Amino acid sequence: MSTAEAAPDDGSFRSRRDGVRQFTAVVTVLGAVLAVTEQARYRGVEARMGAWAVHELLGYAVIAANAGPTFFFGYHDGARTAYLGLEVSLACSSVLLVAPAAVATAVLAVVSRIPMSRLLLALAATAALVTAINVLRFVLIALLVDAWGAQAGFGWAHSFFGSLLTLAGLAGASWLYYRLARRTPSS
Amino acid sequence: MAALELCIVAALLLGFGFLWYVISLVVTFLRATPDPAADPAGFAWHFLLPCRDEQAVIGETLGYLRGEFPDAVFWVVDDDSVDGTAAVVESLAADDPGIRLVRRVMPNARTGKGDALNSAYRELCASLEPGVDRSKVVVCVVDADGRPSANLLSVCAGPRIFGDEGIGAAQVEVRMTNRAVRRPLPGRGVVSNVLAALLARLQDVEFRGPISAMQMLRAKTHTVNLGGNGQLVRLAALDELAGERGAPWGNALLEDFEIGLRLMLAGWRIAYTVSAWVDQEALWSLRTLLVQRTRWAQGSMQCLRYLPEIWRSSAFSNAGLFEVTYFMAQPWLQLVGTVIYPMPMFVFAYNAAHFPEFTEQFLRDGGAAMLVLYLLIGIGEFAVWGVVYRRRCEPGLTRRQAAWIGLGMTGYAWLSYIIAWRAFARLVTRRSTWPKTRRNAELILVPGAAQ
Repeated sequence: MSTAEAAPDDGSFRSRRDGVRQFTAVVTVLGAVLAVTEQARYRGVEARMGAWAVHELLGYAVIAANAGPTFFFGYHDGARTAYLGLEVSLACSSVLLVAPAAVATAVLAVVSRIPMSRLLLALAATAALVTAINVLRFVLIALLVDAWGAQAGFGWAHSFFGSLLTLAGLAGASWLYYRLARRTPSS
Repeated sequence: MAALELCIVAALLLGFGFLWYVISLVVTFLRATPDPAADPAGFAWHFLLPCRDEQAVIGETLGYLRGEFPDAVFWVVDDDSVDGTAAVVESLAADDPGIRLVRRVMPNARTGKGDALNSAYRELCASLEPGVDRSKVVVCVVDADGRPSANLLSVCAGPRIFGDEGIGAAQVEVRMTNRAVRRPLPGRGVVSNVLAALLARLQDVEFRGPISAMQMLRAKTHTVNLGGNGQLVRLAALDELAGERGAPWGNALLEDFEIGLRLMLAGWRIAYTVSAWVDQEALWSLRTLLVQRTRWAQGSMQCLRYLPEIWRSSAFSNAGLFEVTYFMAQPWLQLVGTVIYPMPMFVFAYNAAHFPEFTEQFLRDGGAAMLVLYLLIGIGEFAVWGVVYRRRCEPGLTRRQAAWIGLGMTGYAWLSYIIAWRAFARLVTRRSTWPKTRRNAELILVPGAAQ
């Protein structure tokens, strides 16, 4: 096949491929926007995941509202069992970390030559890791509340240890995204 | 409330991104190895020295350059100086065929450093024998007070730099010649002298620390930037950019950064080395430094127009695209940072004033530890350069001096927020003309005369 014959085919393939990438980028951005506008539902899902993890990992009694972003867990308050409600606020939700990752993926889909499958895999893995770390943060809160009492346990777990865990989670998620997305196509 | 939450998360993400970047820089910097040298005789070396009112320094600079690089040719571009710059160069050129004067006169002068360099480029091309191998001719841009290290040519002739035929240009490390001057402003008070000496030292740390590290990281992504001093370009690469006008340099405020981008877009790679360097004068006046840096930031903002072309170009790797985009976004991110970073602090101060018991409880239950953690990260990511600088650049400094320099770097970094806003204001008001940065000697002679 001569160069002259190959050129239109290459151009049409490239144009189709670019079209697919742009379409995927738009869908990804729409997904991010949807996650933010529907953040109340998202937080509700996170709260139920938190309740599940606290029960499964720590064995504590939990009560989760069906749709709300709050769950209650039982902890030892002296000789009795008390319940504390945790509301997953917007700032404590992973949605504000996952949405920028989705937007960054959309930008990379348009401007870079990283294979689309790699980008989507990196986004999915990163979103899963960030969400898991956030759920782990709820578990940490429950654990410290049980050990140190509601006020001190929640305070330390939510501020200092929560920050450490979030930074470690972000580091892990960035590294994971980089590792999964970094390989460039052989062409 | 949602706005505050968004600010907190945005601050976390931006801050984390920057922390990640600093860690990458420090690791890259500490792992750097020296560049091997080679015989420079395989290349022809031409120095370009753009000058405007440089009578005070140009004679001494030419004397130094002639002594260190006797086989090179020196093209001094006089950009219609009002002092005796041209006369000084003319008298030296009369006895030395290696020194050439390129005169620009009004109204075709003072139109930018890029135009001045282009004039020298055309004269240099006209002087070359037909058939000369232009890939073996290297042009080196040096400031009128620049002092390249004696090994400049041998290092740049080495296998990692112009010995590699894919390398179109190189940038050498920039050092501040007056970094250790203890009393830079004789006749002024102790405080003025301490501040001026610290400012000079911090500029040296900046160029030999974080800027060097950024360049080393860019070497991995093939996106090294060129600077205005200590910039070397292969003539064949310049030819590719020159076009019919014979003008390889553009006229952006950051003409050096611009030519680097254009070389990369043309498929050339750019090298960076700390094995050779150029000494230049650090500024002692904070006001003059702010003017200089605002010009740089505005120039970087202007270069944003190249971004779509870079994104479309196949000459950049994915990592290169990311690096260039991040670099160009820096002044804009700093604008965003000035809004989102202080917001949580304002809210904390408001709560402390209006709900003192709640704030006290928060601080007792991990809040204070969290604030200390963020403070340590916020200071540490700049202060680390004090330690790194002592270890890799100036081992003669004491640990205490390195610690103070590190703390100084934290304050110095905050200047970038002021600079970003000044540059942004100039950009939106379409002001793009800049006076030449004054030399320290001029400021000492005319106190308070900074722009």
